[in-house]
Amino acid sequence: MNRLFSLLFLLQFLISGTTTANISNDTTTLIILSVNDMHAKIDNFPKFKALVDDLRNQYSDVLVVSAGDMFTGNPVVDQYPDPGSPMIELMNMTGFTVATFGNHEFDYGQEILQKRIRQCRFPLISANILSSDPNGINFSPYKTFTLENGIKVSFIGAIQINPAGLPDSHPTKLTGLKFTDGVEKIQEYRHLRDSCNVLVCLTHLGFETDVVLAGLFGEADLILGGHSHTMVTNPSEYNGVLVMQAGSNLKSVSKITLLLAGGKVVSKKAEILSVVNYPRTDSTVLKMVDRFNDNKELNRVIGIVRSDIAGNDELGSLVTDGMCSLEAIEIAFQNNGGLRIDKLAQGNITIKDIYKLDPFGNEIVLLKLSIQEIKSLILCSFNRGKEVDLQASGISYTVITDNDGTGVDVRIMLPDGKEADPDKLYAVGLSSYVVSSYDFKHEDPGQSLYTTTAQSLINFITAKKEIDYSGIKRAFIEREKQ
Amino acid sequence: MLFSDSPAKRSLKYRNIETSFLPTAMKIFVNDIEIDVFTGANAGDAVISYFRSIQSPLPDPLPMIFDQYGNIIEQDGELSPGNQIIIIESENTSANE
Repeated sequence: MNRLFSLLFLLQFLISGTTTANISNDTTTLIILSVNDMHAKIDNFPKFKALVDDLRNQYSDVLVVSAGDMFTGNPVVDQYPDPGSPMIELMNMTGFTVATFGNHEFDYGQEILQKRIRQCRFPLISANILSSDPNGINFSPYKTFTLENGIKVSFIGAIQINPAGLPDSHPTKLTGLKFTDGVEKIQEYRHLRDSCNVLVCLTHLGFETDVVLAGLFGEADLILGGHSHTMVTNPSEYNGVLVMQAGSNLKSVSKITLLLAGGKVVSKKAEILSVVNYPRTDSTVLKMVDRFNDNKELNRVIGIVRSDIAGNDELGSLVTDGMCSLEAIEIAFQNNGGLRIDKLAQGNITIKDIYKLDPFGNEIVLLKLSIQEIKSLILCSFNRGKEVDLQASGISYTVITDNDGTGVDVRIMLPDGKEADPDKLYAVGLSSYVVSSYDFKHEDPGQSLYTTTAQSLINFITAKKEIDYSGIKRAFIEREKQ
Repeated sequence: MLFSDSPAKRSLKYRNIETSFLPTAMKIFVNDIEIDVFTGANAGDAVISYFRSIQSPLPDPLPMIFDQYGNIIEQDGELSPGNQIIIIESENTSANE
């Protein structure tokens, strides 16, 4: 196909006798490599850099783009002294062209995000974010790039918002920012079609929303998306718009090959390339990644353990106290299965120790529960194995069992020794795993607080400096009186 | 009777925690069955909730997840209200965390 178009235009060139190469009689092969939801996974960057370089050696026009969520998901990067900076350094080294904001770009807070934006040697775009702070982040809706032969490629960005009108990040990280619907906002930029040769929506909306956008915005040539971690195995056009997404964590990349003739896109081809299985590695980037992985920050001492914290009672009490240190939470529970070490030894405690104790990256979910619902949760957990499964903070409890050891009732006590108020709704923090997998009565489906149980524990111990949980026990079993 | 069928009214005594942040259910469709998940849940959370709702043991590993277009969705893929996901159920079951 490529050769056919080249021959046709060579013929036109010879017939017209013109000697000036320009867009109107030129053919262009444009490669766009799109990654999304890298989530701070840096280990595949050496292979990705090699892949990009190999394509740049093969084609003269290669653009590399990110469809959001560069950050959050790897303690090495998230706990870096300058959080997120390894990602930007690696993206700069790889030569990214443009990126759009994902919801997790805000997780470190706006001050750090501003630093990261200043560090970027590529623009970040989003059409549906507005800042009320003149000294705050400047959100550009789109960016147009001009190739050497004059072809103009425009990218419009958009970020996901939830029913509350905010991206999925903690609301305190979004103060002063206004978000509008991305699908509606992008449609205000139809005029870009008249001033560019290739129009790309670089979105962080999720694949299903991208398909909706395609139906409403046929002016676009492509939608390169993120957020839903969708691996598009059968690339398809919707309303004439090619919609792509490449999983997550830099394991794969979308390769888009556009053929332009006379300044117009005449063919579009999309495929997923494996980064993980790419045969070559960039040695310079490998050294950078090794340096980042040797993150001394993870060995930073955040507190002192006065005596061994051992067993589920003590470790679970510590983890739930970390959850309860969040202002929004009154009562917290942690399942024993989520505690992955037997003890925290007396002495210094480091960030790395916390991730060994709590490695799953579970988010904290806030639920407003009545005391009856809390009892239902405790009984559900207990009767899974007829043993205490949930450790608690904010209350202590006793499971009353029948002669078979089955839990039949729960007595809940508040820290002041009083009984819980049956007419009150309590702000209960649970790990996302418990909310999803435990079958208990609850009217409120919950709301993620977009912070992890591990992060809350790090913050809690850092604030406390010294911790002592020897002998702490908050969950008990009692046999029913006959 | 340990707990009644009608839990305490939601309007009672609840302290004013970040009112703009009050939870709303996120409805997701798994194999055409409507599932209520917490706001911010990912595809894996929805699938776990699905197995819980149909009272079926949780498979280990979780089955592959697809969208309505036949694409693969990774377990940590973020969801939006109304998303439809599809799993192919198998016989394997095991304990979890």
